Amino acid sequence: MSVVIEARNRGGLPLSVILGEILPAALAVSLLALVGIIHVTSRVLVVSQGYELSRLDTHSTELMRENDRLKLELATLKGPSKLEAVARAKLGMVTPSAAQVFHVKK
Amino acid sequence: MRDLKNHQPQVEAPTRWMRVRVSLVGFVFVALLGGMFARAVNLQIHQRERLQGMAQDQYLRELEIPARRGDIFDRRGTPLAQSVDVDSIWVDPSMLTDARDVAKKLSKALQVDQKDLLERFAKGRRFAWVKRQVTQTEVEKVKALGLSGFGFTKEPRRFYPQRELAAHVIGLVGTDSHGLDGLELSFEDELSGDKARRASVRDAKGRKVLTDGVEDPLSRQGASVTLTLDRHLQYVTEKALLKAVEDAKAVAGMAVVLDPKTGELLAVANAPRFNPNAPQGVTADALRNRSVTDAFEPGSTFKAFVIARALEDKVIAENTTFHCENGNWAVGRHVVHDTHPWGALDTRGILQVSSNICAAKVGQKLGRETLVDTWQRFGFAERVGLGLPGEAKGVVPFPRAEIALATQSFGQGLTASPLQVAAAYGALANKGVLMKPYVVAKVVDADGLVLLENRPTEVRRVVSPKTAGTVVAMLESVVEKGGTAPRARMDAYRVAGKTGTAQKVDPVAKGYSDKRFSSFVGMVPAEDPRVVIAVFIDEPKTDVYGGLVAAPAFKEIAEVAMPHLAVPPSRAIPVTSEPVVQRPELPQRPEKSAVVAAIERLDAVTEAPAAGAVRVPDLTGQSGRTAVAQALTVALEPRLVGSGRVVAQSPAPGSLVEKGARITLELAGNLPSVTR
Repeated sequence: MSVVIEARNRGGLPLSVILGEILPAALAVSLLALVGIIHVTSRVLVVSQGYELSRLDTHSTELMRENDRLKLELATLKGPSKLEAVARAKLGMVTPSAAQVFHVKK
Repeated sequence: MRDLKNHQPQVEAPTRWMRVRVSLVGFVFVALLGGMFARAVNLQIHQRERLQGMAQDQYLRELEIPARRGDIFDRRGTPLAQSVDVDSIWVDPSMLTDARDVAKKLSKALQVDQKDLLERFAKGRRFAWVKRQVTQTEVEKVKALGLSGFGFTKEPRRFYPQRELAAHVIGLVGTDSHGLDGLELSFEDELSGDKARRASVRDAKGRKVLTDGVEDPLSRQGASVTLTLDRHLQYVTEKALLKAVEDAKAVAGMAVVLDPKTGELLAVANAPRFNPNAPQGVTADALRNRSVTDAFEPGSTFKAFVIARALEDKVIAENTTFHCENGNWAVGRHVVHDTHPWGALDTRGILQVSSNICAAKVGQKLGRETLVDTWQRFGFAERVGLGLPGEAKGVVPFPRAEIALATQSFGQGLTASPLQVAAAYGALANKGVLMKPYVVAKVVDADGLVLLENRPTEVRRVVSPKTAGTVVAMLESVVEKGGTAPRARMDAYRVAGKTGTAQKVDPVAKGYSDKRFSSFVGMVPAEDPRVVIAVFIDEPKTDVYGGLVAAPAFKEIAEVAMPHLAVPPSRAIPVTSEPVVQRPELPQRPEKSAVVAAIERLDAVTEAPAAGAVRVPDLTGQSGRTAVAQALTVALEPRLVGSGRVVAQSPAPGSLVEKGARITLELAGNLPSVTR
């Protein structure tokens, strides 16, 4: 191709004619390259976000597990047998007799 | 193009050799292109599936995301069953150099059988469980051994934070989180949630790359089940029942607390109990929810139904008297006995002293068909339909023989479950209307969609309100002096109830044994019953009468239940010598009790009002949005836990805190209220 162009140019072919012949092809190639670059970039970004999402997902799961564990601990500590033992032993509380319960009328 | 042609210069014609070379090169290129095309067709079309599979094996991993089993709550939102992820230990047996030595070390660290471990290592080529659902301490122990080829994976484990509390109702799950008994089994489909499988991309280092987003964790969450049980009443009931069983040296015990107006079960207790967190070694006997699954000959508690029906049908009146034959009455070849030689008794007296002979005479007056119809109308010989596994139906045979008619009239020769007896007394307490008992209030899925909601359901009217009221008034005499259960009498509340001391059948000798089934079923306050409490003691040894072994447990439960349900006393209680409130003689600042001091410490409240201090408003019962708005208006920083309405708050209402202090609001769904 270059041999032919050179040959033609030597014959006095105007540059505008050559550009008019080559430019569309060059533009098409550039466009394809651009699309390729965008595609690759987007894929890289997707993968990178995938890593980030995965990290956050793991973190979220860990937090949920911790939350579940703490809820369980709270429920265990609030168990009536534990509460009664603490109320009686540490706070000196007793079950009120019927006379010690006051009913407030609404 | 035309211009180009016109301006084409004279080019020297290629030589022949040149043409051959160009043709050769062209041919080679065409051949190569053809070859490539053929190879592409082969790879892309013919070997597509095989190669795709190989590629996916390298970068895709199938992840199994376990379902999150739904929680079980009591009526106030207290968790009774929760799931938490814990570690399970596995091993790649191919990586073990000395399996015997490893098994020995693991056996010591994890308390597992060494032989069992070796068998597992031999069976699994690349994977074998070492121990599932272990504690953090066990994980640390295995890590400390420094063995290779071991892995730790998270698995959901079911925990029961209230331990034995309501364990028979809730049931338990197996290692694979499948329900084995109780509500865990009955509501397996609703609670279990959906296990998810998803293909995830892995990079060369094995790291997970979530390129397709993450799944909503709610999609795997099982539904939550809210019960009608009240944790506090359940605790008190179990405690009282255990004490009664221990005191009587009995084989077992059952207790049911029921709201007669709605049919809601507030407590269902059984003895012996078991801890569902550690079910290993628990006998089937301890696992049984006897209140629901076992049917007994109930004994004298059934006399109330006979009297109710006889009054309803006007077969007898309140003042009708019967002669109780001085304690012995021959019926055919049999003799019916009373515990005491009673003479003439009126209707009230029959219930008060629990005369078998006079009850049998009332039964005779009613007739066989009416008596059987009475049992059926009160809900016997028919399953309640709680939804718990193995619910007993009870047996009510037609009393063909004269003696059968007599014995059925005082609750022998037919069987009923403790739950049925409590429900039937509920009908007397509820002005003659039998309500369907239920223990599951609602089932709500993770999105808040209500899958099941039980509401108070009227089964049928059994007797008129007048008859029910009359019988309840008669039953009040049972706990008074001269009755069979003065130990059930309460100072502040009017109690109505009936004792039962049934003979148990000896299945070997095929007759009645000397073993007893003692009970007390009562309602309180008698003027407008808010709860029916039924206590049953199986084979008591110390005393055998229901009024002695079961009635004290009834009283213990009722004394806590009444203030807990905010029921005003039936009568004024004289203040005892111990004054309730002691006012100091001098106007001095009273000493803080240990309780107040502890609460203050917990709430971090500053008692002395200082500049910039605000008083915490009472936000309980309000919706989350309203509560947040109110908290913000008094310059407090709200922190919400859960969703729904505010059920608890910290610091407590009325406390003085600094402006900008954090207030934690615990929210829960709209639960059915206890008081009705």
